[in-house]
Amino acid sequence: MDSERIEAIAADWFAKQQSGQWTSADQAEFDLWLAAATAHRVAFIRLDAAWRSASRLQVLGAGVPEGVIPERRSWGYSLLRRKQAAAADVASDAISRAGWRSSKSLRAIAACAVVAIGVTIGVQSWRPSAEEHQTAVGGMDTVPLADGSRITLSTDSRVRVMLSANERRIELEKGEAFFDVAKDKSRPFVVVAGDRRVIAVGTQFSVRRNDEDVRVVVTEGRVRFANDQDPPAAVPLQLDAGAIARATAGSVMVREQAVKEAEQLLSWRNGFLMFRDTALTEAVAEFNRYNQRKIVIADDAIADIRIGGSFRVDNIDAFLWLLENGFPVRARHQQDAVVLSAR
Amino acid sequence: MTLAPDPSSIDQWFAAEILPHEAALMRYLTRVWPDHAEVKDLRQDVYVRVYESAARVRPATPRAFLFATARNLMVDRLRRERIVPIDFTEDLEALNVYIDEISPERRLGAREELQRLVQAFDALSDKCREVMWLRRVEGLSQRDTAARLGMHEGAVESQLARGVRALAQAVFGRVARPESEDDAKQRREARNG
Repeated sequence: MDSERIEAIAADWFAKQQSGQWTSADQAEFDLWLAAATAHRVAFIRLDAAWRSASRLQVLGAGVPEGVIPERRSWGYSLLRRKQAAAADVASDAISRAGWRSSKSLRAIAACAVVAIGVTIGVQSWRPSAEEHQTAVGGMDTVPLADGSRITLSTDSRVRVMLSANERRIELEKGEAFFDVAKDKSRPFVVVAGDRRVIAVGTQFSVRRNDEDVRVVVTEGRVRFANDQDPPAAVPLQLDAGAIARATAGSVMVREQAVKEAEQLLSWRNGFLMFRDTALTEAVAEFNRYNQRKIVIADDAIADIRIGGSFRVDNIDAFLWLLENGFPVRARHQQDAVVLSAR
Repeated sequence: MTLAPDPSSIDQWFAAEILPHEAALMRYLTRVWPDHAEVKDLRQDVYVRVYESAARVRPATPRAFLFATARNLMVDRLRRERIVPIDFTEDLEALNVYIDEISPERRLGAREELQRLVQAFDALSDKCREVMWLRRVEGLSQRDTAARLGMHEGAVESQLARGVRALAQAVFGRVARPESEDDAKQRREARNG
């Protein structure tokens, strides 16, 4: 297929990802298209990289009143030439010395330039935008953010996204989300779950919240895990790739594992639940998060049975079959629930 | 045992080390290849080869590797399609990469980079430019952009697709859309008004 056609298709995919209506079915189809030919992949990388580099325009856009689309040649050019913005000149010379390819440092210095420009011509700062995203029970959704990061929401989860000039802030109201954070040293990425906050620069991790119980799993890079209840001078906990932190109201327990093992806790991203020597109560609780029809354990005797295996999140039947055939468990199907008892 | 490099890190490498040389690559391909209409397809094939090769072994000097790959690809093509008889040394000469194509590009200052982006933006057609401004510079959602501009969301999405293609052309190819009649008129009016 010729390059024009491929580029057009890549652009359609890109625009769809930015649309705010991206579903996991879209993601699956996109992954297939991407994997089908290297030419697809390369075309997409190129568009993605161009989009990212355009974030530098936000610096110049800060000089334009909010809600106004400037006429051609009425923005940017004068700001770039303006003699009064001496601070901006200094900043952009610094950028030249740093080298044009490093967009990270460019953004960091550009952020300083925004402040300088703001001082000289009295400009409004960026308006932070707030978006809410939610999944139903059994649902999953990937949300691409304007900064290039991605949030994958698990079942029955809700987040509020607020990106502003100084900070990228996500409030996890309930459920679990996996974060693939784009590097931006000028704006820390902060996930707030109740009193807890997870701070990252460029990394991959998940946060799960159940009221005040918070679990963090880091699969790449490093995050800092802080508690708003701690005194201001307290040093936040540092979690590296492979770390699993479980925090309750007063305490945090950290376990460090190989990344591959930590990732098993995040197998829901592929639609699987992986159990390894897991107590039945815990396994059942996991399944119940993804399904309307709940499993109930009626007998204390079976609560501590240990199970292992990999199950599709919506395939309760396979799970029940295993229980009835591998363990002394009986499953009785009722209208809205499945009751497990000792056999 | 060899570990396959993580695809997303090759993606990043590709964007950081190969794409910045696109303008120089295009100049080279355009100079050498007889059919100008095929140059974009050629570029795609060069990129594919470079990407797949880098997935196995990361080249030590990306720019040199890019040009070597481009040269080899054209030699293969020319031989296969028998467009030009390769035995003649003067034909091989044409494939040599000129020193100013291969040597490190004059680094654009940050101001020039920004200026190029601004020009690329302003070269977009009206609707496309409005959509790209609101979506990319102001950070408005697709839904809000559609409401602001009185468009269907699908139309906003299409304009974004067009806009990001034009941006890529300007950022990497360093080619903004040539000035249209409208733009020239606007410029004259701005000067005289």
